[in-house]
Amino acid sequence: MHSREALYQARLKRYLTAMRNEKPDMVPIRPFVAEFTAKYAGFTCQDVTQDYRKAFEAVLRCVEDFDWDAVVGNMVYVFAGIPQAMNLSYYAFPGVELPPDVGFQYLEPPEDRAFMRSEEYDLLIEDPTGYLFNVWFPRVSRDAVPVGAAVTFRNNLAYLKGGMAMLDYFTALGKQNEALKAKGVVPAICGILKAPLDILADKLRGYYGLARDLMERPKKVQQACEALMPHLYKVALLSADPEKQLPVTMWMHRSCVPLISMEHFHNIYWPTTKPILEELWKNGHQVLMYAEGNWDAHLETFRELPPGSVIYHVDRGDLLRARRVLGDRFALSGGFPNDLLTFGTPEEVRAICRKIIQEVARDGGYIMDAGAIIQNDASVENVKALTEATREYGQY
Amino acid sequence: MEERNPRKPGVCFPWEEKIKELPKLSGDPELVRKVWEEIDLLGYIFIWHCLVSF
Repeated sequence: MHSREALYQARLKRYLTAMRNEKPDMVPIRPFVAEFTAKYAGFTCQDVTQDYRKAFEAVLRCVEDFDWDAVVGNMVYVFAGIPQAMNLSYYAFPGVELPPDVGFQYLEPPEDRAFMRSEEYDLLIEDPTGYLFNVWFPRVSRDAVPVGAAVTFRNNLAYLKGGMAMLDYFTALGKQNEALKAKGVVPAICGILKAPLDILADKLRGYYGLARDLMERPKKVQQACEALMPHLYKVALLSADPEKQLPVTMWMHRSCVPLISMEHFHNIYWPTTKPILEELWKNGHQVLMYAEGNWDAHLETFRELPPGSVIYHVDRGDLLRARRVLGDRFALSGGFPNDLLTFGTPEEVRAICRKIIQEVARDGGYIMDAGAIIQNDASVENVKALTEATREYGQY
Repeated sequence: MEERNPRKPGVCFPWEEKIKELPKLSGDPELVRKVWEEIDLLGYIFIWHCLVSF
């Protein structure tokens, strides 16, 4: 077997074994390296955000030099060409609205200009896809015009160029995954999921609007989440790994205590999220629960999921507590503090790596990663230390 | 997961509506339906990825 192919197979086996909550030959390393790749490869944030070819090149240069088992083909993820083609209003990009070496930002409009109005719940509930086309998109795109208004050249281009740019990017991402495999590296994830309540906050009502709705019209929020469920499941299923090896990633944003109440978590968030995860698992797809922030208050609830159905990723939560509560059912990933990658020393990084491996990874079922995506504030020396220490201490 | 609305997941413009606009099909109707639904799905992917991914 060619050495790169053998390397790929060994890394794939290691990664899959850990995700099944079993003990591989060593702790797999799967860093979600985003703008860090630009820094390492000599690009700016603008380079890798505006030009996906440079983003891909940066990732490929990193995996040549770092002994990583799995990475995302482009963890910066957003290719600015798509939102710019549609003139979306909720982005600020490096080199445009931001300095060239600052990561792109999501902008949330003020509550009174939310992309979905509080009185529009019934429209969304009745026909989510129709709502997105007819109401939501003309509101988030500065170029699209509302249904019934005179059609414009810019309106037509927004849909046409947006669709073509998306097709171009998704096709290229597939080729990037093949390029990673050719270098012996596993594409870390495949497929996207967001929970209904999270997407309501992220892109429809905004956090403040949703927080108000949860108090003033909780039944409508619940019905909206129920209406979104089958569509978010469909998007996850359509984008999932056809070979059923790599996990769909659920990016968890705003539905944990204290951002919402425990009552709303139990009455709305969880009953409209758990069935999606269960249905994906029935179809053979694991989900990486990328728990951004701190979801420790909900660990016991997550135990309700079928054993092995998810990998639970820790960001600001307590990794040891997650191991104690979930470790008999699910693999864990992450938990390495991002601030240490920026402000710590290589010695401090090595010490924390060793501690995590000794206390969390000793029986397998753990994948080394930082808590959040690694951006260009992380130092190269510290990312090297993270990689080398995991290899040194992470042998079983 | 219960589907509450008539426009099912994966569908923008249902085939059942489209076929009403077409003349009586002289050839293989399944082929026409299949291609319609495959391309229609791309429209669905576009708008939902705008919401979820971008």
